[in-house]
Amino acid sequence: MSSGKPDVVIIGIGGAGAVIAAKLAQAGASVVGLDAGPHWNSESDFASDELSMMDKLFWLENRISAGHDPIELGRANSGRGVGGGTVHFVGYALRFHEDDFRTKTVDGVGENWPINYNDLEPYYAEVEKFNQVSGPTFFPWGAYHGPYPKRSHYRACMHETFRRGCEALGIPSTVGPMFILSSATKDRPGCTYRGFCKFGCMPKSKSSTLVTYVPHALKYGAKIIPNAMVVRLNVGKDGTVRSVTYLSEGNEREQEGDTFIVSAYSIETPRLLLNSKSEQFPEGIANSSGMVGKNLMVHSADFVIGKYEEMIRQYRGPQGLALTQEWYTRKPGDGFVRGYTIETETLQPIEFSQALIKGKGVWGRQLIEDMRDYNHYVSFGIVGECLPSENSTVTLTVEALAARTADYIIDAKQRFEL
Amino acid sequence: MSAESYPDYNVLDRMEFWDDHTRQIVESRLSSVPQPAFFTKEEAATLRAAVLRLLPQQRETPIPVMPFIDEKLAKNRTDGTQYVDMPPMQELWRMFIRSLDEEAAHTYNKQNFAGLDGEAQDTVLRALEKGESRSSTWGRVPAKRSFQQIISIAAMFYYAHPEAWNEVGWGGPKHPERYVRIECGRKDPEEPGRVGDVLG
Repeated sequence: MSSGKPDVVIIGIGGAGAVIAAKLAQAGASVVGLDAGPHWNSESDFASDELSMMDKLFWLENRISAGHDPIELGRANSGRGVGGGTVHFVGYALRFHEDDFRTKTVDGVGENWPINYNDLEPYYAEVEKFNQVSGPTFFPWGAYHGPYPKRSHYRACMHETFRRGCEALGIPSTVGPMFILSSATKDRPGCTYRGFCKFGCMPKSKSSTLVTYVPHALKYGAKIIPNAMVVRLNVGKDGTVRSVTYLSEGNEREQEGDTFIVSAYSIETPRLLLNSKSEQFPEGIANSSGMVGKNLMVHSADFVIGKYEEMIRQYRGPQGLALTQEWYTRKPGDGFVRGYTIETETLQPIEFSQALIKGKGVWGRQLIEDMRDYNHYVSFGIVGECLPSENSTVTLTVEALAARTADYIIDAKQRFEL
Repeated sequence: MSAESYPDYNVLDRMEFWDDHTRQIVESRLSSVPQPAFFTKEEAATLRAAVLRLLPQQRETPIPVMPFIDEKLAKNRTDGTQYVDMPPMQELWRMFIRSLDEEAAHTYNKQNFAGLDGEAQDTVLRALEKGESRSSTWGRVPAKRSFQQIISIAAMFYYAHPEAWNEVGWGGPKHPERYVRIECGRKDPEEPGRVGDVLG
């Protein structure tokens, strides 16, 4: 950057912000990225330890959850630090299906997108190549069946158990395309099957933006400022954003720029826009429609655990791998619209204890005994979608620290109708 | 099938092969149990007794759980969600402890929960879980969700301890090493448990 004022300031260097930073920096723009959390070093900041990583990598600041059916927002819901949620995502690299863009036409629910699958197709291909996604020889569902840049991962026992179960029921299943290297690239090794995808990948085999797009952005001259919690966008007399105010070690600082991109997650982005009220924009930035913070969508994440006579040892291998999309699209006779993916999602001991407590309602001797059989269990996740609803809203609370708390309401009626 | 056990397994046997950061974290968890900072002496006694019923253990030196809860609350390390119908985290734990003592007083005419025998303590805990407690304090929170939140936090600290890892037969930290024999019916030599359970 020749002058002090960069072309672009990006707020939130996570799954989206890091990609934007890399692309713009490579194209020659001067880029400054601000992230609320630290810039992690995979080897010295991460660890093979659930407890300390849960406290470190997740966005744990208090969010108030309200509504008919308040949902849990904490833990793996969103990330803190450069790389954001991709530092602890399981790593499934699934493309949307064509119908996902036309739910109103196909299923009579939701809204149609203004773009379609073909518009996105080249970008899917580019991302898969850049990240050296590993995948099956043939992916059975959707518009794209492969190939993928790298071979699929080997099935650990839990993924194999999933395959056998599906086969016995006559359901097709596959190993999924994954943002995890199955063999080494020039600068990163292949997966070591240590089972900590959700807690920071120490060998850097998982392609979080922290180890892919962020180094790329830095190589092309982008500057990333960690531990910078942006609290306000400041508007000049001409009605455009001139700078942002951020907190760094308790001090207020300002960052100027020409263009500002807010990519701070579906809760923090509206929170920031709503908190940037001014005389010119009494309802916050970009909110003349009143739609900022509305139609917040989450995905459903139900769990099934199953116990086997043999030892599964689910702690080994990539935390996600095997899946079926047999119920992803609507079939005649289904009593519901839209669908879901069933996928393996290994749970390390603490997470498994949480599943037993919240799912089975056990405590005391029963909890201890169920946990002693940890090695006999499999864990599958069922990931479905929610419909947009104006009742699902991020609003600011009225307390003094309004900027720091989001109130989230989800409309339970919509959820159960799916 | 009775619950599994791994009497000869000690996850710490492989500690020298762990990465430095993981080793430091686990060593410090074992050597420096947090000093009391949040609960009063009486609150701590009640909670310690409750944790031993929620996560019963017969060890001569029990896995410390209460001190880690105390530390979490003292530092107000929140979990990211506060349900609108529940009090903030620190207040919820105080209410839980007060409710245990109130219920003990109501039902057993005892000064505090810690003075009850194990069976009576379980009865008190069940009353809180089911929302059937006569404690006026507990009447102000959604019983089941609050109760599960409490156990979840306690279990987080219990299952972060190497002795609990031995109890469940967890294979342990594996970096910079790696798991090699990951198929059904196979295991690496240092992993706990039987081999060849069922051949794939």
